[in-house]
Amino acid sequence: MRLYGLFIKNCLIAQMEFRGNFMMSLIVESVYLLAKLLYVLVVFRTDLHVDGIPPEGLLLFIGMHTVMTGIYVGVFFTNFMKIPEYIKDGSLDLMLTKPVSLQFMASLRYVDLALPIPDILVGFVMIGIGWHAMDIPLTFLQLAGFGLLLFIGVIITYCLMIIPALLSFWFVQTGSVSEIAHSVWDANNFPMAIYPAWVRRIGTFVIPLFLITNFGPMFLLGQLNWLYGGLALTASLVLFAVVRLLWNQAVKGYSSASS
Amino acid sequence: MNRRKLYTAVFSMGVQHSMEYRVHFFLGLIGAMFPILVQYFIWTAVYQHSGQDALFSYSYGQIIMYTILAGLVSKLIATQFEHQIADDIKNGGLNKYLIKPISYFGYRLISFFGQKAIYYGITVMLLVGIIWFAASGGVLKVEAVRLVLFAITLWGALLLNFLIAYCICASAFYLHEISYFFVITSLLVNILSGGMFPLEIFGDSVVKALQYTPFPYTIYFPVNVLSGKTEVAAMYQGLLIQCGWIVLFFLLSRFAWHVSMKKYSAVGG
Repeated sequence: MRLYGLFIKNCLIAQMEFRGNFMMSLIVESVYLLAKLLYVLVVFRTDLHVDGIPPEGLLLFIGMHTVMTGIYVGVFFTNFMKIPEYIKDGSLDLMLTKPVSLQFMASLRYVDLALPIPDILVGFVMIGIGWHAMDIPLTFLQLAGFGLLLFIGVIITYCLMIIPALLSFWFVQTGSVSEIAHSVWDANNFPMAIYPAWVRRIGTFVIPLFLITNFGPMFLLGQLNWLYGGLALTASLVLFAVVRLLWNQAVKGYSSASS
Repeated sequence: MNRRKLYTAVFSMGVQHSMEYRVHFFLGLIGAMFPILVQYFIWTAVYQHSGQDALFSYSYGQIIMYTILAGLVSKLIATQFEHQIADDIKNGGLNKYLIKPISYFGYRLISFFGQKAIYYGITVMLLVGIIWFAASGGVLKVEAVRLVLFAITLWGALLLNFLIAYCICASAFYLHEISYFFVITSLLVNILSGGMFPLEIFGDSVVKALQYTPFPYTIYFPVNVLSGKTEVAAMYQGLLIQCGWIVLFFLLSRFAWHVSMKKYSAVGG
């Protein structure tokens, strides 16, 4: 944990060195956010109700997705993009020798502090508006449940989005796989109720994509029973164990490309 | 080597370049499918809920058509050479073009068309399938004149988008760190061109205002020519305006590059 704190500090120092780039990152992510807000525009202009949830309630879902996108681009994205590079140029060798868990080092070393700012800010504002508009009581239980589901979402995000990077242990060029992963990611922007049942089943039980940002708002709206909450927790733990195993398996096959 | 031979060689280089990453290209197509699918489900939910026949002046069939076609067209006209040009300017790769008997503009344009030739073919095949499917479902009335005009405007869109991007590239002479800049401009241009949603969602006044910009003539206009939303008279008028923008941006890009080139100091090489 202390080491992770040091990583964050180090990244902050590095980013502050190039403040212009920091500002540019902010602007880039804001433009992406703007593109996402177009969906909000459509929702409000058409007064879309999904499963009886009014537009303001849908903000909970869109807001949660935006927050999660912020966390993903801030904490994971840079690292996952770098893993294929480490493998290609052999800099993973050096990491192997360090007295820290290799997976921790390779997948969490960098933290981008600029990219998540607009997403997390606007995301929480949207959640706030939705929370208020849907008359959801602001109790400890609600907050704790929402926080826990957010945390579960982060773990599942880590497990799912690292898969393209893991594939690069076996295949060199995986850029297009992560491109697909990113476009699937945005399917979460809306409540899963808009998708047909078979898509929902795949997204919940096969690739638990909808667990990431659908369960939090569903919990707040009282659509989620404890069974599903428990299922989400178990799924995230199992998934993490599987990714851990996969990682170990992948490293065993690593043949150290160059250097 | 005469000019024709030279540019044929550049064209075929472009074609070969695009075929270099076949798997990447096809995976890219799959990647482009997902946003279309997500939008399909969103629009389905929107129309089911509202119970109205038309929203933003589009019927359900038309909006799905628009989403699919806009996705395809924006993939087709997407430019990917900005980073190469910026790299050429920054690291001096431009030098070798300056001393060779070939214009950099011509080289980039022909190689861009070469790279897009295969994409164009595949897009046409997909379009034939979509048009056939939509026509048999009664969403689309196939009219020969619209098909011809669509094919023409699609080439126009390709050329116009190239010119817009080429103009934007001239800023690489003045800015040092440019990759972020291209991300922003390409996304903004895509939104304003109607690549994500039909422009009508922004409201009538915005649609009207955008008619005075070149952006709708890259995606929004060709798609609506095909889908039958644009009136016949407006089609020819639009085609003329598209040509006007192409000429204007051609002159603008020549001018911008001519001015910027004076600043070029040919570092490295």
